[in-house]
Amino acid sequence: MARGPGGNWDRFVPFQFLAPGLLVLIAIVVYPTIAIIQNSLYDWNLLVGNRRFVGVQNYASLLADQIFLKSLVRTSIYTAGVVSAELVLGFALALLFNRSFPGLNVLRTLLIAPMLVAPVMVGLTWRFMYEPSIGVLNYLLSVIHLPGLRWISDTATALPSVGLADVWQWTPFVFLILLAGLQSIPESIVEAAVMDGAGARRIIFEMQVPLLSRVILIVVLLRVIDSVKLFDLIYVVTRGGPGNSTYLASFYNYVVGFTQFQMGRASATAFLIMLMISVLTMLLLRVILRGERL
Amino acid sequence: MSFEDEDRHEAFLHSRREFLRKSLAVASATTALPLLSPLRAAAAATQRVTITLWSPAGQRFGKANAGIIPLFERAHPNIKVNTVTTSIGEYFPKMATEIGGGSTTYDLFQAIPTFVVAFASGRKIVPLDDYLTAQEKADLDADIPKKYYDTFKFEGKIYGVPNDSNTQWSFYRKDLFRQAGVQLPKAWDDVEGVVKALQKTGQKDGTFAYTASLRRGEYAGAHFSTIFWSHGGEWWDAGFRPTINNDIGKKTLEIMLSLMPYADPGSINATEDDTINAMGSGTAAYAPVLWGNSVLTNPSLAKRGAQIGTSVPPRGGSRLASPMLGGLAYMIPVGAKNKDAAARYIKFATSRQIMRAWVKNTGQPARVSALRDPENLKTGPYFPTLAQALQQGHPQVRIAESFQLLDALGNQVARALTKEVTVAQALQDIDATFTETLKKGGHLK
Repeated sequence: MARGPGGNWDRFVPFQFLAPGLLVLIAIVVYPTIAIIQNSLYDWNLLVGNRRFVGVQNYASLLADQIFLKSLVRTSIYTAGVVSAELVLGFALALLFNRSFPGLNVLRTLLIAPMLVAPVMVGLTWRFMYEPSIGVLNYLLSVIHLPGLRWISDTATALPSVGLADVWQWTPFVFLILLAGLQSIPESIVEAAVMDGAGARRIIFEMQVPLLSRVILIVVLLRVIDSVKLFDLIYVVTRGGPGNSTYLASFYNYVVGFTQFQMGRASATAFLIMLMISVLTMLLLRVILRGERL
Repeated sequence: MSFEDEDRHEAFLHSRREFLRKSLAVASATTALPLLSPLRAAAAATQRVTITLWSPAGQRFGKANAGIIPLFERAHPNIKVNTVTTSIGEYFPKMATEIGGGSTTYDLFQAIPTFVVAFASGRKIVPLDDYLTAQEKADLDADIPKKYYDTFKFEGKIYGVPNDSNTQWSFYRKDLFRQAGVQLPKAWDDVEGVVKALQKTGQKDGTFAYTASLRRGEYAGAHFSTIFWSHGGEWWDAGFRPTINNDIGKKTLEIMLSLMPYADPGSINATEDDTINAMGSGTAAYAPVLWGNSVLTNPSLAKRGAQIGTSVPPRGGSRLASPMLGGLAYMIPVGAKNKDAAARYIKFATSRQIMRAWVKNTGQPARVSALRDPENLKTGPYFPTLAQALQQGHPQVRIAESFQLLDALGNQVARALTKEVTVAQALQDIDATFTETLKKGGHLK
């Protein structure tokens, strides 16, 4: 039988190049996922160490748990609110900075500074700012003769307050990507539209937004994933309180795992959240890649 | 004899001498080896070891340990103590996860009684009986309140030796009470009237009448439990059937709700650190239930320290207050690398001789002799309150799921306090969660 210079081994060459990457993926993605699925089938109290196989009982009890279901609804509301605000503000800033003016570089650098701060530091800073007696926000309200708010101590304002800190930190990220997108639109297209008599609103909504749609969807995808997973801000600012008002799904997961030590149930929660994010990602990717082969 | 013969003879003698010398050396070494082994053992014993102690940070915990470690190292030059500290608000979940997960990083750590049954039954910590002499055991038994010391024992064995003790008690601003013309409330039924009067006085300078650590989870759960137990409630009956959804549970939640309009806004999300800050900075006038601490009555640590008084929490009707017993004991994890050296530190840090140094460094002793020592009262003027509260205190429940239940209880209490659910609904949910957990743990048939 005739063979090429490398014989049948040539077929395996691509796999040799892929192998290191695949091995890393298996170690850091595939194995933990399998471990989570496996653990989710056990009733496992970490403190005592006993493990008892319970099948899908953890999933069944989770889906019947009103606190978990409400945390999912709260997470959806939070994600929708925060991502919308970041998108609108980020796009407005991108439009503002998509031109030349003195001090542009300095301002742009300053604007992205929040993104560079660790989320825990952001949380601590905002927590002090929200302090009802000595916080700067209530002081500013008092300067304009408005009554102070119980920012993170009131069930009605706690979640929006956490969202505000989130928007402050991540709007620059949205701004940066959208600005890059805007700058990639050829100037000739905009100039032609201006010559045809299009106003600013038409240029933005009928030209720039459609041309940026894929970039916008990618930003939305990234921010949705981050918001659904949000943990650090909640941990530092409110710990899920007051009551359950900021009890998001990822924090529920933390509480079940690390204050109640129910590792089986925590694994089931983690898997469900992962599944939720995966479905959302797939849906958004379908929209982004519509008309193209995956 | 020719020169040649002389040389050969000399070589023979030389090699014979060499042989004899070597033989003698080997024989001596063989004979001396068994004699040397005790010396080797002694050398090993004096070999310097480093132990790692993990404790909560701050007054009473990390600071108190840091104060006595140099004394220990001077007394035990072959043992060095490294400390790791974590803020109290984060310590317990982190500690439980690491020790529960079988960490080998720490040689000893401090923990509250809530974890004793879980750790001991899960073989995560070692019994300390073998490290203590009969005399040391007798001394600890005689000097630490039995009700409290027993919380660190399991199935007749000692799993933790406390050098710290704690319960919840009341802190109040003596000056503001005087200004408002009110006395410290004796019973929970009187508390609302008192805080109402305090609120009127405090409004002038923006001081809130009431403060509490009501963060969802263990803090709200502990607060609820102290009022509930003081009214004669128990979490469950002899058959582990939950007994919180009853008149006492309802009354407890209603008392807590009635005080919320007078609470400083931070209370609903506060840990004990936040409540200490609220009292210490003058934001609030009265904390009827707060985990004991050595900060608030110390003028050098708290702005209003000189004005802060302490008392056992209010009674539940005609019943004596029954505050939750807390406090920390030293424990040795199964994975500790230097258990003997860790045990030496435990013996040193819990001994009578070290108590003055412990107190001077903001420690809060478990030994009655230390709580009564007049010298210690200069640093800890609240020690008589602590001693009394320890006598009246209610031990935390002694099952492996106790922390889980306390957390679940506190979550429901917080929901009721924020009016996310009604009192009746919260009590029903507490019962349901307890029933599920107790069944799962095999306690409730």
